[in-house]
Amino acid sequence: MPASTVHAVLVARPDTRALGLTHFSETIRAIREQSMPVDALTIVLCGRDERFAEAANASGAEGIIQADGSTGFAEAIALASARVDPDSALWLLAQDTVPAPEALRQLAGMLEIGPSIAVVAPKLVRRDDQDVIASMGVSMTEGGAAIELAAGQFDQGQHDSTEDVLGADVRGMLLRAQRRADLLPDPALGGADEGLDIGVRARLGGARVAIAPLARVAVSADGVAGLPEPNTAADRRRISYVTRLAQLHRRLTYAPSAAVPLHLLSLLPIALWRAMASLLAKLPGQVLPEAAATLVAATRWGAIARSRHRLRGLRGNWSRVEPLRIGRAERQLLTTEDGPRGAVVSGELRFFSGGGAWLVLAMLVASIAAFPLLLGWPVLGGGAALPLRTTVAQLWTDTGFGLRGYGLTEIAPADPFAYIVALLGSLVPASPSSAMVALWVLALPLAALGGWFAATRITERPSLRIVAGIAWALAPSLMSALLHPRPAAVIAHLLLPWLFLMGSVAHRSWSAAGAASLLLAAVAACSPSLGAFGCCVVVIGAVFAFATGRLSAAARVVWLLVPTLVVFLPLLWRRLADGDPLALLADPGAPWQGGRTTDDLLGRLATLAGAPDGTAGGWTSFLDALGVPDATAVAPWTLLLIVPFVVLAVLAPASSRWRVGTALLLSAAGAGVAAVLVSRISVTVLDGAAIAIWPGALVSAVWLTVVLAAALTAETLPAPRMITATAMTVATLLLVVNAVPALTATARGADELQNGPRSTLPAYVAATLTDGAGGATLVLTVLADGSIAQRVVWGGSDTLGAQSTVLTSALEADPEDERIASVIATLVTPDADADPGLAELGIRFVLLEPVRQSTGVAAALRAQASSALTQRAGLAAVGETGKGALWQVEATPAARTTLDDNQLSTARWSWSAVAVVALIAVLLAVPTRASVRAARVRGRLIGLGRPKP
Amino acid sequence: MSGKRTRAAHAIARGVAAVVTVLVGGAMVGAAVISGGAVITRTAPVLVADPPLTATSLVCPDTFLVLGRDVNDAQRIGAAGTFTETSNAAAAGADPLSLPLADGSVQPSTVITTQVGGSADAAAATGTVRLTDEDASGFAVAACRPALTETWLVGVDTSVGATGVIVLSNPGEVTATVSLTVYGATGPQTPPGAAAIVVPARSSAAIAVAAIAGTESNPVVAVRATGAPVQASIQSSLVRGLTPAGIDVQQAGATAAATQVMPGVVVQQVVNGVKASQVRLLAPEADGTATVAVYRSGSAQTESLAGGQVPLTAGIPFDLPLDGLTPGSYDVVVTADVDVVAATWQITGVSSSDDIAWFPAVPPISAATTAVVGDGVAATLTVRNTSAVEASVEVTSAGAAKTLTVPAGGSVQTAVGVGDVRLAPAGGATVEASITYAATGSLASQPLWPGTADVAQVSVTR
Repeated sequence: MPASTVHAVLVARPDTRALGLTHFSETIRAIREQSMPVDALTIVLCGRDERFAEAANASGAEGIIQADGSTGFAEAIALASARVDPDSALWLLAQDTVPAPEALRQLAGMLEIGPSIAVVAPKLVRRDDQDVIASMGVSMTEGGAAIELAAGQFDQGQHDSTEDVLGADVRGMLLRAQRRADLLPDPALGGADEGLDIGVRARLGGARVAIAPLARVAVSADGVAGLPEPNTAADRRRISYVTRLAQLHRRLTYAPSAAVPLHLLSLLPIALWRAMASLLAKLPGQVLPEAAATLVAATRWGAIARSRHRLRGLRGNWSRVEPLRIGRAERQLLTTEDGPRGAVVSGELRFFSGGGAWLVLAMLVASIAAFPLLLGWPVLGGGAALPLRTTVAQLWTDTGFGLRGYGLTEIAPADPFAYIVALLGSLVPASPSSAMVALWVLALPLAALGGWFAATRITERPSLRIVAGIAWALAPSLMSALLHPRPAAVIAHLLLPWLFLMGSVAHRSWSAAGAASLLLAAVAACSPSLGAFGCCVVVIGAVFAFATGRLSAAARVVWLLVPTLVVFLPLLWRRLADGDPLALLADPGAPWQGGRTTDDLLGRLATLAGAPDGTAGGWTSFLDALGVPDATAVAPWTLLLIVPFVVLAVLAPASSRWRVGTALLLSAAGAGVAAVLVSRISVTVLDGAAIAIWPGALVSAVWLTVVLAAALTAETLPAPRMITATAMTVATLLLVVNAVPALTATARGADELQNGPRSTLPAYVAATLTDGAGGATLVLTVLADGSIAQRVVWGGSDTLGAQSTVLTSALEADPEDERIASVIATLVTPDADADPGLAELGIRFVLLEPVRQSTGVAAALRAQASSALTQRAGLAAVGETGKGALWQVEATPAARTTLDDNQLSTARWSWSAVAVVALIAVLLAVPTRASVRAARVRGRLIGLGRPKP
Repeated sequence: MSGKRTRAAHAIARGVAAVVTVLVGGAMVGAAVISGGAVITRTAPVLVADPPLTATSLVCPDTFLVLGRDVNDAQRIGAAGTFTETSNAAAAGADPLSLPLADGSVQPSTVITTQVGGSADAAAATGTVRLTDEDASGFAVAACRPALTETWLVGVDTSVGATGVIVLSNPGEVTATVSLTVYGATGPQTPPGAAAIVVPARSSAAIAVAAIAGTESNPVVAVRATGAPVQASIQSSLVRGLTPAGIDVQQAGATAAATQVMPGVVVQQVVNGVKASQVRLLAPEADGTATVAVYRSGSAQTESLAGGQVPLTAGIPFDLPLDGLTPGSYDVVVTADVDVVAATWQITGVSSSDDIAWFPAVPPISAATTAVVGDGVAATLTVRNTSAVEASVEVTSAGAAKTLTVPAGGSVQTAVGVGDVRLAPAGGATVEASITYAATGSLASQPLWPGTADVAQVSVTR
């Protein structure tokens, strides 16, 4: 018989769970029914509740302590222990711990036979399933993280031979009377790892911690002692916070005094590291609680001092703890899960066996056949295509807030498209411009690849995926953007299917949300009008998820907007400051009107059909070349070739996966409306002429949704396979026919692609300025109406990344514009003999572009300007070049203004914000073993409903 | 049973939802395609800058040149008479500098340079000349004008008995290189030797019309200068048989535009058998159709008295006779669907005391401008308004100001005395004006040009 007496302390917390009172009553009954009765019972009620108080009064407890609701388990025990007889062992119980009748006898017996044992812990089993171990011994890793040794395992007696452990769960622990003063739970731990801490202190003090395998205590995680069940997001945040806080506090407590400052210093880098690890583990909800825990742990000097005080003089005995710690190998064994928690739904991707690879290869061949000359071009020109900067450093300089590649001293945020250009150009560091040429050659295969993958969300049938791949590669809007070069529209088209692939399952997984968020930002950078539409779709999706109560899904969907917002923030700020938010829609890159459809019913239909350039998909010139009379009238009818896809798409809402079908069709309609609307909005101005927003990217979105909806119809239509197969074949063949004029355009010379030039400025300028000489080129273009369009170009050429919509869409002239206007007026007037001060403005060259007219006001003004410039002192005529007449300023140009401190810090902040958000999104997006497994459980298809558990 | 019914109900509900989706989507797209939505556009800010003009140089005629006075060298250019200058107060103080031919033999022009002040005291001067020689007789006027980089000389006469000299004067301090483009029956071409005529600083050059366009029947010459602007004019004389039939100095006409106006063409008598009134037209850049209309000067009449529709081939001049005009003053208006240049030819008669004159098209004027009326023959100012709204102009002549109301599509005339004349359109109105010198046997035209400061304004955009 045990000699010493046992005093049980039962801590209850009325405000925890609904079942709290039941648990409490059961626990009281179980204590009463112990085969070895407790000598005394003290109940601590943390928080006031009539029913709890009643139950406690009826229990026959020796004492009842009413404590505040904020009192933690450790504090409650401390309160009660003051009234416990010093010769009694202390039994730590909570409202949700139901000891088996033999439990106390076993625990006390263990204490009796082992004099060196200071603490005995029971075997905790789950209350709802008593064959499963809830906790039986806790150890810690080399890093100090607590680790359960047997939690979650079926109890087959496999651990019953274990005797010594480092620590255990605090619930049901029996503390030896003589040692318990030093071993009470530490309130500073905040509720986690209290049992482990007690064990470590006991072992440092020279005692042992034992497990009594035959003492069974059934527990349910009410959260009074130990951690709560992670049922809600709030629970999970609390667990993350408390676990981390306890771990850090223990680390600061156990460390030798000399090491404490080092530990404190290491907290910040470790916190950053763990934040990245959490993101990589697709657990972004952990980041903030852990950061808060770090902050709290590092600043509680008083608590650290108290906890350390208890271990004074004992830290040297670390060797007593060491043998029971868990090594790396064991830890891996303990933490690795046994396998997928659900059946794997998605099968093999079948990219190779399903013909996807052959499709991409075929498109590569088609692309080379369609653009044979491109392979030898160093720089893509024509249309909106411009050279890229010649070095990677310059490419990235263009992405920052600050001086733009145009203008004199204007400080403005960069267009986000500059990031895309910089990324693309960095792929070929030696010659960034050739990356654009490569993009053109690879556009068809890349589009086919994207279309194929997007279709994997809709169908598992290889034939339909191939159809989608073909349809995306031969999309009329892509053909238009390739032949009448619009780099931004081409890139947006290539990214769009991937955005669909990831965005359509973003609500399911952080991995998809991370990838989709980056893709949305990239698409928005290429085409702000399409980006705005995409953001609208995301907001609708988030509201839908929120309204249906799927909060974590809503959080993942909302994240899609974050990178886009951060990337556009400087520009947004500037536009709002200018009172010109509409200009956010301005197409980035070189402003170029190009061909457009007529502004009438037919023209708008042609826009929707993917031919916003007014060439009817190249059919006008194609039929003309074939000798068809009146080709202009016949060509618009070829738009009917895409109608089969539209007809199939319209049936999609009637399919068995009608949710997807409806969403796709409504998206198509929304994008179509947006495309028509933006095609009439002009926000940029070039050479005095307004340039309408290019609707092509939105038309691509229409086409994507139409193609996918058509595939969905073909996949799910309750019709004989023969009929759907025939319909899809006919639709695809007609689409291929539709693409014939576009694919032969280069051979017929009906495209606007040009080889180069390497620089849009004369070679002499390019050579001088690319070599690093300072100064800009003032380019004057005499317009047909006799006014002069000016631009100040910094660097050896106009470049794609240097373009700035802030400059090209400015509504009002600023003092800088006025200054340059008066300089130009002086320059072009022969009798004006004031010194224009070009060198002070940093201008090294003046280029007077040729005019198209040989007579009229423009020609006369150009001739006048030419003779005025030639007569002007301080300017040396270089001569007529192919790109215009050139003069060089004889004085050394002044250096360009630099950013002041405020602007520098804005630049740094905006750049770092983008870097951080991009890093977060990438970490979320990078697939890990766990995220891949989770994705396979959900399957690839969308619209099947949630899998049955 | 009930399961089946539920399934059927579901199917029907889904079908209805699908139809509604399609209808809603279709309606959205349809509405957008049909209405198109709002048109939102923007214009770049246009800054109008005044260059810091400190001085303006005007090239004035000095010597009337003729060919064939030297029996040893029929192609030799010689002097036939000297212009009489009339200057306004602002120009009077300036010292004229000589712009002689390269060989120094003749001084066809002079240049006066005046400081630029306000527009009220803009310098202006005009030279007139009267000859009564047996190879050249008549009356001619030439205003002092700034040099230009492009000059259209539309009225180039190459018929039998006509001689002409193109005078190129460079008032600047650097050499000008001039190219002459002759538009003829085969389109534009640059004759040998006319591609790069060097006119040194502060000098003139004279080229016989016969040397560059002798084979053309109705040429138009475009003069384009690089390096420095030049002033180009044609001094011409006509002899019918052995009878001198008139002289003329023709200066720059308005640059190519869709509308060209030649106000104040005076018909003194009906002449048969020779070309008495005609319009020369040229569309330099593109094919098109021009309509020539002739209205009585000083009236609001809108019915054309002569002319008609003319098809034009790019680069090939076209002469349209204006038949059936009774004596009086007429405004000739050309409207075309392409840019054209134009000039009107008029004679007073065919006797030895008669005269000829080319009326070049005049440029539009929208701000106050100053000219000087020369001495010798009574002058009339004709102001035409081609716009659709009534225009009001203030005309100051001989110190007296009066306000004239020019009806839309009509014109007004007023006599102007020798000396300063100032024309100021009110309230942004745009008019075309020229001064006609007409007396029995004397006829000359002096187009009014916008003031120097207005011309010099530069519009700068992005």
